[in-house]
Amino acid sequence: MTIEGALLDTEPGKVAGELDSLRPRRGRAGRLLLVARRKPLGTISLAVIVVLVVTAVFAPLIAPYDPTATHPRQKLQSSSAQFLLGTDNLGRDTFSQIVHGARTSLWAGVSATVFGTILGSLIGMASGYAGGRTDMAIQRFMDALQALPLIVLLLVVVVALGPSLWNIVLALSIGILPAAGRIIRGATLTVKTETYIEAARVVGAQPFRILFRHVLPNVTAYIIVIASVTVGGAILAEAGLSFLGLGVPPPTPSWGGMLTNAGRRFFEEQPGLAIYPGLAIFVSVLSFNLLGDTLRDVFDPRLRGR
Amino acid sequence: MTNYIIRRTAAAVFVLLVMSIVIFRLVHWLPGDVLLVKLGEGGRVAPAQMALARKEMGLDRPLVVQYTSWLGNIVRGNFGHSLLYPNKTVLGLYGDGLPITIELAVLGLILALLIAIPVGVLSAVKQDTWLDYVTRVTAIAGLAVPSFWLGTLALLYGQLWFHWTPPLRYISFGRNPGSNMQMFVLPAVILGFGIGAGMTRITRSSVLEALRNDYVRTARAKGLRSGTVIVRHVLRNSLIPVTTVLGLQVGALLGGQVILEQLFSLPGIGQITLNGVLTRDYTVIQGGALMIGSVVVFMNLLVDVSYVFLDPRIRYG
Repeated sequence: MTIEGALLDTEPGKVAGELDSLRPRRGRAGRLLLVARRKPLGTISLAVIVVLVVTAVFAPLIAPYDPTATHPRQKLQSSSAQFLLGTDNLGRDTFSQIVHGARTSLWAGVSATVFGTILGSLIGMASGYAGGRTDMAIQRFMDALQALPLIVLLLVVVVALGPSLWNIVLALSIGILPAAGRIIRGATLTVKTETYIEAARVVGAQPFRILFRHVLPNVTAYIIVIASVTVGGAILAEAGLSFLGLGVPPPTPSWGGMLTNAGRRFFEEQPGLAIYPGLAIFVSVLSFNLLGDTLRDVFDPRLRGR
Repeated sequence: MTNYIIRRTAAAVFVLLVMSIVIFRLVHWLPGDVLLVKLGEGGRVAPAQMALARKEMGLDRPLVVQYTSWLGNIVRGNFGHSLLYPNKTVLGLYGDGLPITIELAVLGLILALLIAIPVGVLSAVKQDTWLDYVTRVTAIAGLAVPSFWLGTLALLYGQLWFHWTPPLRYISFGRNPGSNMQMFVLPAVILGFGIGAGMTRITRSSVLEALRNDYVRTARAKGLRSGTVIVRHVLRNSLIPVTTVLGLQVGALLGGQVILEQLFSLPGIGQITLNGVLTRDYTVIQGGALMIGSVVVFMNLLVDVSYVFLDPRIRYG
């Protein structure tokens, strides 16, 4: 689903009501604890994400084997004590590959989201604040970028610059940028009319200062929400690219690549090769989406105090 | 109202122009060119011959000149020939893929709507019951599950349990409806499930929103039956966001489903674009991206204009 779609889909009234009951002064930690209790799904998903991040960071310590090491005598094994999730057609340990694959997926998804959202937000803020012709020109350019088929954009960038992790991140960021820009521009237009902006302008603050000292803090909640509902989609897109054979080049393990290389060719002999990498993608995207939903409900200023 | 439509249309035309420049620039950023792909490794053909061939194809002219002549031709409906298959026009190539992409999109959308509207409404009306929870969990899972994984598993277990594999070569509906449906059933279900999941969530939240309105209380107070209230008052007013998403989906779907088409060997628009990029067939990528992008721009315009008719507040506001 698109970012706008994810933002459209809220739980009207209910959440705001729930959060109103959090109002009594409890201090930050107490309030966090209450949110955790009211939002069990969000909390569980956060825990899963923490596990994923730890797995990615400490992959070499967690994985029992080198993910690229082949065991020629033990090809296409099913799960055993020696190979937790079996081995692929070259005798590589599936579990170790999945553990290392977490690095690729998380890194691509999170950094593309961070870059795309930040750049998009900066452009959106500047565009909305500038207004007039500049705003018009920037917005039409964003529209054009957004109408461009994402897959064409991804494929062209990856083919032009070569399939490295950074180029994939770059391509995904360009894909994320327009939606983030559009939403933040809208938020900036609202903030712009506030009295405190006028006051800042009256005392002679420069546009740059107004943008970063006054507008930015007031649209931060939106930026966090956009980023949190975007990560899952970015991970999915990276996996899709790898699935098409245009992701991070082998032998670097990636979940999408595992599915397409070993999974699709040898699933009859060893179904696990098709099941586990997909399960890994599914669980991580699901966790990020659930966390995104929770953060949106908690942070979205439109819902607060309604 | 006319003013609004004119302004939106002008903006859309401008967006198309900007997009054509972006596409043109982007595509020429690809390394090497079609000649290298066509003739194999560059070393084997004499450089002079290469230069001659480039000249014939117009690849040696300045980019601005190439762009203007390209756009001029497109305005006249001439998207040029594929560089790789000179006897095929870009329009013809995409024309071949269009019915396949449309068939997949229509089947997917029908399934999605059949799931999303009733389930979304039911889930909202029965908010916070187990039915609502099951729906929400399924929907959020549907958004997270990778289509290529579902597809791979469907093929795997189709083979393992039923010794069934879909036909590997595309068969048109006209030639053999049975085989054609066999090819389309899995990708359509997977597509429909994915889109349906998103639409269910949007239907649910917009029905919830509509349920809180005073006119719903009024309708109930008048003594209307619950079903009538839902269909006549709530559903009608909550369909605007659903229509929006539907319109945007149609635009996106007509661009082709690269992954599903690839997985189920359907030579639709997505596959044509993918092959174009992989073989650096400039004219195909350019023409394709422009056509797909234009459909998206047009659908966005249509959605914006349809608000005027769906929501009287915009018409008179």
